[in-house]
Amino acid sequence: MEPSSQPQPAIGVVAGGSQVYPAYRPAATVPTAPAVIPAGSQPAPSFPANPDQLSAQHQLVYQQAQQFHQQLQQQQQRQLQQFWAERLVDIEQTTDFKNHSLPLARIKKIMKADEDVRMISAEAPVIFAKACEIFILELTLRSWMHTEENKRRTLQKNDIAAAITRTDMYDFLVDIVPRDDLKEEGVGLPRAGLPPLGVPADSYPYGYYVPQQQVPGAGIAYGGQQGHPGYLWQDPQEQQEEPPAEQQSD
Amino acid sequence: MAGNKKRGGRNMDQVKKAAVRSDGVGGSATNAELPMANLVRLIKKVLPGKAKIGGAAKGLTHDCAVEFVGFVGDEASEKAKAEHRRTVAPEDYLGSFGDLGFDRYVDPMDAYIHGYREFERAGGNRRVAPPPPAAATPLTPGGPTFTDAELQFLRSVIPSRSDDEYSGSSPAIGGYGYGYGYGKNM
Repeated sequence: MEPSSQPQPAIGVVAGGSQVYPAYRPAATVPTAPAVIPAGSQPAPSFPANPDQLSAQHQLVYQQAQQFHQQLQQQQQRQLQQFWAERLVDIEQTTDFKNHSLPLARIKKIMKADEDVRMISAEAPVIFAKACEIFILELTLRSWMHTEENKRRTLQKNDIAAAITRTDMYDFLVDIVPRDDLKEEGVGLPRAGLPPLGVPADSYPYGYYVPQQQVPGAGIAYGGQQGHPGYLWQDPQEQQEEPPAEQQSD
Repeated sequence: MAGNKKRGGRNMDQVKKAAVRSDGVGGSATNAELPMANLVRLIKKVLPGKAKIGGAAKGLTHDCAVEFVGFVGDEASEKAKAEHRRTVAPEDYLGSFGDLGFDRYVDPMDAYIHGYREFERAGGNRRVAPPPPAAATPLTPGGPTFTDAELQFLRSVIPSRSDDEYSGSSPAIGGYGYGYGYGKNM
């Protein structure tokens, strides 16, 4: 069965900067001028902005945006949990192991493509046919969440790039994503240069700061005033999904 | 932690080749290692009916899937090598999913392997008639830990000497239905 599609958000406001993921250092940009240009970017422990520095009105709008983000994340987490529950049921009910979504010969060829790979057991292509199917389904689901956030109905390359950058599990795919899609995902982000192919294992090229433009004008903080549809935020609950993971990602 | 130890560390020549391929115009279609039709069918399975899929998104998903197979396969191969085994066993793949951060894959794939083995023991691949449906095996809450008996079984069914072909061709293990040219069944 197809997972239920996520309903459109009631509030057409998507503001970046709800950074509560401990692995990344969020940045709080508090403009001191009425213009949209931020005064500066400073790292903050976990809360992106000091509420005392905001007026009551902006504080209210900000809190509403925070609540919206939280609800959206919870909704997406529920979608993922439902997805995995369906996968387990699907596998436990499998009785036909002769027909696969992906041809075994092709998978075996891919596995053999790497000269370092040793001889593989006869079961290996069968395992990967199913694992690869699940991988494609989950990657597509996570990508589609980004499509919906931008109110589009067409899955694009940058949606996949967004899913990859948001999910630690997909770190190994960063080199596969064309640079312009990473850059597009980071519109307005203060990245002087993109990391070269083959980033070192101990680097964190995705922990960059997301500038916030919460107060572009008097009383008009969000909505159509913002021209950047692809805002990025971290998924803090990803590594806390059930069933609880035996390991923790850094 | 362990989930990130393979970050960006795979064979860079192949990675760059894949990166170039996904940038090319229609490159994925020409060099597709997985059939695009199967891939698109899977993608549509998880999207709402009104969704459209951009051509570049199909190509990028394909490249990611190929990379996934190589990424986990390399890790499993290293596991087998570390234990001086010449053949990569199913438990190597299960362990690799966990080590590389694909924790949620471990339980489903463990259930899948068990289901497949029951299918094989019923001689499913050697009959024209469809096999009787296998009973669903409930997952143990403790997770996919192999018992000693299971590990011994795994080692016994995996031949110590074998060429690149499927191990089923060896008469020494004729009792098992392994390696009956799965690719030819498609």
